[in-house]
Amino acid sequence: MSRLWIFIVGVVFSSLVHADFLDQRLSSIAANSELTAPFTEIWRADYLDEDVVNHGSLHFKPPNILVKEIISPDSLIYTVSGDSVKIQQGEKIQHIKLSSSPELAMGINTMRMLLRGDRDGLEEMFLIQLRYSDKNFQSWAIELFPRSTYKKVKIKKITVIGNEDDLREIEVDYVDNSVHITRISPNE
Amino acid sequence: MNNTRSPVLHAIWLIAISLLLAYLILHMEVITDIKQFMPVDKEDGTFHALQSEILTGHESTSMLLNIHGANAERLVKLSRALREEVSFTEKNAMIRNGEGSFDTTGIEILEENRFLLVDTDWSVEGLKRAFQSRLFELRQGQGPVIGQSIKSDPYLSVKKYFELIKRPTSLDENYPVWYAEGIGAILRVDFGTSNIDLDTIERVQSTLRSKFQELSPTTSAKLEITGPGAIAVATRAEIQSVTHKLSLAIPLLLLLVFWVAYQSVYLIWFSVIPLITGALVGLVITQLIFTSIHGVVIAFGITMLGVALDYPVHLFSHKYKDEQLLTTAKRIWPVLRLGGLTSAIAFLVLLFSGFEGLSQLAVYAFSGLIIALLLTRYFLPHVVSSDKVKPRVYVNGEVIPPFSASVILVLIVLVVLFPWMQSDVYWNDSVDAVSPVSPEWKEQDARLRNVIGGIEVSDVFVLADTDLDRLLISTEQLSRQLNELVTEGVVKSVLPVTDFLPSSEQQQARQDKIPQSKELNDHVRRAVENMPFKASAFKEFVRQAERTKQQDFISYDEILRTPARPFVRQGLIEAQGRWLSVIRISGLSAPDRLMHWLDENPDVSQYHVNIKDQVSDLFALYRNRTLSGVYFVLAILAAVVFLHSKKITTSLRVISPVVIGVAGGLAAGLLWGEGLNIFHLMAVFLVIGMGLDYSLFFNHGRGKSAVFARSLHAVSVSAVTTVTLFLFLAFSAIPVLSAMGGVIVAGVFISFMTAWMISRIG
Repeated sequence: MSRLWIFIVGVVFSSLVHADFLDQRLSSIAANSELTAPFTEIWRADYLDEDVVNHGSLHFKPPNILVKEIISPDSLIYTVSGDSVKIQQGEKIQHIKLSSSPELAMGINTMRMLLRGDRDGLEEMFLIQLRYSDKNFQSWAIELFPRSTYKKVKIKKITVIGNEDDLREIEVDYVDNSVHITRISPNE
Repeated sequence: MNNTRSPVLHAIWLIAISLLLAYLILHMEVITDIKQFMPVDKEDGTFHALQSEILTGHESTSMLLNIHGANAERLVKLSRALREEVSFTEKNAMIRNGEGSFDTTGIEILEENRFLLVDTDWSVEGLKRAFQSRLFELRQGQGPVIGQSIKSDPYLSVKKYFELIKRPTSLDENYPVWYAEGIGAILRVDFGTSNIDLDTIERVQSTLRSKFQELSPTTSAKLEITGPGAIAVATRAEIQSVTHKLSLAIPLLLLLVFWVAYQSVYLIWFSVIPLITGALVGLVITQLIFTSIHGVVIAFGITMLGVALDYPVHLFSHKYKDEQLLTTAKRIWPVLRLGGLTSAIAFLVLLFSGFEGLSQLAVYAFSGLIIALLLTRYFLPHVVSSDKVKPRVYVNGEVIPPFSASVILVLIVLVVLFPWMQSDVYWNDSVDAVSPVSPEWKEQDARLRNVIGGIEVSDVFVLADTDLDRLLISTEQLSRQLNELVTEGVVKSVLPVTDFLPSSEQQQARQDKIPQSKELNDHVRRAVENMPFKASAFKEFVRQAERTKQQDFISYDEILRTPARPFVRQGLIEAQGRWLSVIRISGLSAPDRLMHWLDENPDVSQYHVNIKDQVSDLFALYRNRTLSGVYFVLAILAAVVFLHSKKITTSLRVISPVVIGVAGGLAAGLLWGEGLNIFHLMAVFLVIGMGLDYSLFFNHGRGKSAVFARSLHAVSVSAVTTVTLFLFLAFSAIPVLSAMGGVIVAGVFISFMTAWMISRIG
């Protein structure tokens, strides 16, 4: 009986600790408020022999504006504001709604929720797991598993990797084994 | 005796009216199909089908919204919020603002048939270009959007298919919703079903306004609503407003006139009995003969029956003190009968006009007038208490000396002739002349449509065939010729239905171009060389292509189950066992150049339909037929009056006030309008009926002072009530109502004055 109590207390304590660390992590990410950083984006799919890569600059302005400027190999600017994405390539402008492209929406919304430290939003969409990869609790990873309501989006898992208060990488794993990685470089 | 019989007769009348009403409620079929009002010898099936589509299709109920008066960001927010709020509450309405989710129901049908629906370059070079485009998109971070679809179709054919929907616009693309500098945000409201009623449109319009008010209570932003749906609602509101004013004015006017003229308001009720009964019997007889009644007949028929209101007035005005009403009825009956029967017979001539609309009007007016006449003679004297009929006959009608009357008559003729001599154009059959829409409103609607890439509504190309596939082949051939207009910059785009549903010939040609699997595999392998794509990953693409080579062509029924349905329904109309294909154009920049091009290409111009011109031609045809009807009616009147009087001078005395009244009524139309149209002529029939009535009674009283005074009394009561009531219509904002009102007011007044003056001469 006493073992059972120890187990229950252990589970409760560990989840409290987990909750506490996650809150800490998200708060510290959100504390950075505006973010401007270079990024590298990678698309990996079973129909490709090698990854397709692009580079650019990412800018986030809380709570909802995310600008992704691709500089190479071709120039293109994505401006995400609310539910709307403006895609600008030179003179050509196109608008799409995030709600009409759920695969794209989930990645972008996750990034925005992380950057503004929106734990409730994340928990509504995902089951969350936080783990540390070093003894000093400096390098961390948050794994997000879509809840059943979001299964149709065909995303298996989203892994967010960070170091201390900085977001370093967001990897979206699709059910068809395609992978979309956004690596955010630390600012100089 | 009257006292005891009156309630019984009243009861009998009420039972008869109830039976008539019951019959009409159970059996009357009111139709609004324009075909029923088309001349039978000029029936153009193609135009009729097109017209029906325009009148009943979803375009006929659409509305355009313009939000302006604030900065762009604010307008974008308002556009989004208004769309979201109203879409939530009004499920019938589809509100678009250029941003929005696309209904993908049935998209799998398009995916199965993708290689039959769009042109595909199957060569190694073509395939290489497709892979290069996809690689370019992947490098732009569009991997999550493209996903796995590239494996079954590197061309992304379905995406290409839907790019056809996009029309050239003048919108500012910096904004996610329809927005244009200097205009503001634009939204469009459509209704899911074509048989939507005006109440629904009005409710949606009021929801839009109230939600907009809630969203923008204090800002300077304004919402303007245009489009056919809004116009229809505004027109109905205007008609309701006129009706409301009339419903207040008629009782007050009748109370005042009857109190002044007869010292009694008791008689009002009896004065309307012949009209009500005539109108109902007229409807029943028309329904029995034609099995349905056109809505237009009901509206115009009541106007033609308006003269029936004068019959009881004559009965009451001509009664002497202590005379029984039955005696009065017998005394005036020859004149009343001559007037009533002549009008009725004259209207009956319209039966042979050649189109069903006027034939129905003829039967309705004839039967209604006869019933009203008979009731005045044989019913009213038995139900109205004679001692309650006390006309105040103070005015001596013979007070005007013959010389003065001659001078006044000459002045009247000059006044009538003046507009006829001044006008260069007498007839105006343009749709704009009868359209209830103000030029500013029309301009605003056209501007908004143009900005969002709306199609040209007036210029279309129409092909017809009993065989759908043959029709699609002709459509493809014609649209290829029309594409020359795009190359020459005359129009921005040509929109044939075959963009969405190709002919079997076209589908066969696309199928034939698909290489064999082995060859296609080889093409894929060579196309992906020096690119990061794995040649082996595109087996599904090769399988799809192979399957397409074997599969049946996509049919009309199948395409209707896809998101392309609205575009196919707009371009293909099925009517009376044959199909019409309507090729529309957008962005017509130079109408003159289009006409010039059509002149040079007679093989294409034979399919060109200018809807506005066609409607104008139809109006001209109606107008000519109605004008012939007017001439016929006048000729019959003259003949009947001559046969009755056997004297040329008497006939001239009786007929000339009618002719001058008609000319005067139309002269008023010329003076205030931009030419006469069918509606002016329709109003003339009432002027003829009333003019004849006035003329006969003035003529009847000539040389008999007491009789003349009573004729003047009766005719004055009629003229005052008619002119006052129709003044409300004359000042209406709706051209049709104001045209009819103006003609009746001027025509009745001039007939009255002319008949009076002529009766004083000689």
